[in-house]
Amino acid sequence: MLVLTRKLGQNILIGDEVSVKVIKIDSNKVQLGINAPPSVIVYRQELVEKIKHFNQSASRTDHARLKNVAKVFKKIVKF
Amino acid sequence: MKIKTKQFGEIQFSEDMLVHFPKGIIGFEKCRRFLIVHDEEYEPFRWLIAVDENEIGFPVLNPFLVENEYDKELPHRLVKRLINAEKPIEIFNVVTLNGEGGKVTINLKSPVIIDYDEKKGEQLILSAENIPVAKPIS
Repeated sequence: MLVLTRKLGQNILIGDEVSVKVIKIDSNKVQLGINAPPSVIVYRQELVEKIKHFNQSASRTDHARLKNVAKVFKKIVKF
Repeated sequence: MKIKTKQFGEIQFSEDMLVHFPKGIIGFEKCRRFLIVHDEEYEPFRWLIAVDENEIGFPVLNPFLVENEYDKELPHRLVKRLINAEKPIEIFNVVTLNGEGGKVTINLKSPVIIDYDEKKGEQLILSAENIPVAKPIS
């Protein structure tokens, strides 16, 4: 990991198309401004972790239980 | 071609039934080839089954069954193709039975988009802030 120290207002350039600027600094948080083209997707890491976790949980689905859920669902959707 | 699945035992399929996910699925990036399996016993749920890894499958559901204005959250370019018969796409969302309190939950934040024309798929993360990753379906 590359660790850089930046002051308020300073910028970091990543590759040819991405830049990250320190916009505001509070005691325990930093506000960052990110410039990137639409092809580069920017996410908070914890969101991706949450989704990963969800997918992992889904992959362990008890298929017998799902059959039962499906039966109930069909009844509800009919109404 | 054959694979062994937890849900259906051994299933036979042909190469042209496969959907290719160049980036895999979030958390399962090595799974690049999938089958979409329909079975009456699981309807309206279907299974997204990975053929590259043993016995990995995800239950999926049409999001419009639980969120009828879901198209409002989707990027315009995708909504256009939902109704475009020439180059159709399908959208479904992963579901888990192991949600909080044992509830059935659906991930509305990152839908799976299938392009049947190109036989390609991807799991997208929607940019809107207030869409839940795990919404209980009751």
